[in-house]
Amino acid sequence: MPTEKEEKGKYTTVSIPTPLAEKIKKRIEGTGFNSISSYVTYVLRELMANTEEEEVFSKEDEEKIKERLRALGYLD
Amino acid sequence: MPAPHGGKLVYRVDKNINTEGFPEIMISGDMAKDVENIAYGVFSPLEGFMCRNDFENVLEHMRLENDIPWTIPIVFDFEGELKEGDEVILKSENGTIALFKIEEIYGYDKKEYAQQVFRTRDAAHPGVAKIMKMRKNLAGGKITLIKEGEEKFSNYYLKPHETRILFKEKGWRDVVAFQTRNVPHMGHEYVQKTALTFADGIFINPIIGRKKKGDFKDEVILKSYEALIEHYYLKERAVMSILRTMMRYAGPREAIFHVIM
Repeated sequence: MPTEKEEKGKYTTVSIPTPLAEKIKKRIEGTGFNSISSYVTYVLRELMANTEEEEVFSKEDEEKIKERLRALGYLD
Repeated sequence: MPAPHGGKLVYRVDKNINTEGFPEIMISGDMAKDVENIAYGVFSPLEGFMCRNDFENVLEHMRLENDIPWTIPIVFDFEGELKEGDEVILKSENGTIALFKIEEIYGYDKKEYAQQVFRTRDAAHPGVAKIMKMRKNLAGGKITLIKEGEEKFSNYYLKPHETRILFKEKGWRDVVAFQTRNVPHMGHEYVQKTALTFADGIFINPIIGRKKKGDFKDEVILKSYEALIEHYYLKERAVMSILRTMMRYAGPREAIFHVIM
């Protein structure tokens, strides 16, 4: 298991404007978020997840797959 | 359609790799399923067995080292002469063949592993018992599938890239996946019908693989769902495809693992 020192190395500090931090502090009152950091981490993870791109298949690959799906009765 | 977990659908298959000259290791049927799930992208974005940082992050934070959510370690345990940099051929009795490039070898604490994943160290728990029987070292690194093994129910087996094309062809955008190790009962029926009120289609994923004593047989689960889809649901809105993996019985961690798959 990681030592305390190693564990601390997995986090870093990001500066945000104080008024924004105050707004976040109010917003998380009574929620499951126990700190501004946990809320900001959650929001940023959501944002990053939505910007990642999917690979696409070639037309030829797609046709082969459709043939298999038809043969198995998944497509008409 | 949502992007694959981690943003990339993994596909690590190369049938042209010449296996001559590589040392061979026989693997269990459970591990062969892991190998194929990695190769076909069921476990995307994993490209191989976990190295130490991923393994420890998963135990501690339920995330991979790169911060992507992941709850169950996917690891290769061994005893013997393997070393970092080795390339070995993995073979199973049912014919799975894969190339494994070993990037890292590391030790682990079985009790800690069990405690983190199952919240117990009691060997009466099937998941804990399995960990306690594991060999003492782990090896991490990428795998490439060379040959798929022979398995039952292959006419119900769709790989992730196939299901994505199937959903596209059916015009489904919002799909609810329902994973199960049981035959359907009224509670399931209610959940599935509710899902169909807001989703374009339902994707039923019976888990086919090693289960604990007393669980339903795979054949029975499949036949019951076959009847449900054939005679009850609208065929254009319900699809069944099996998920080949063993049950871990890891409670909430396993629930999230199933969501990821």
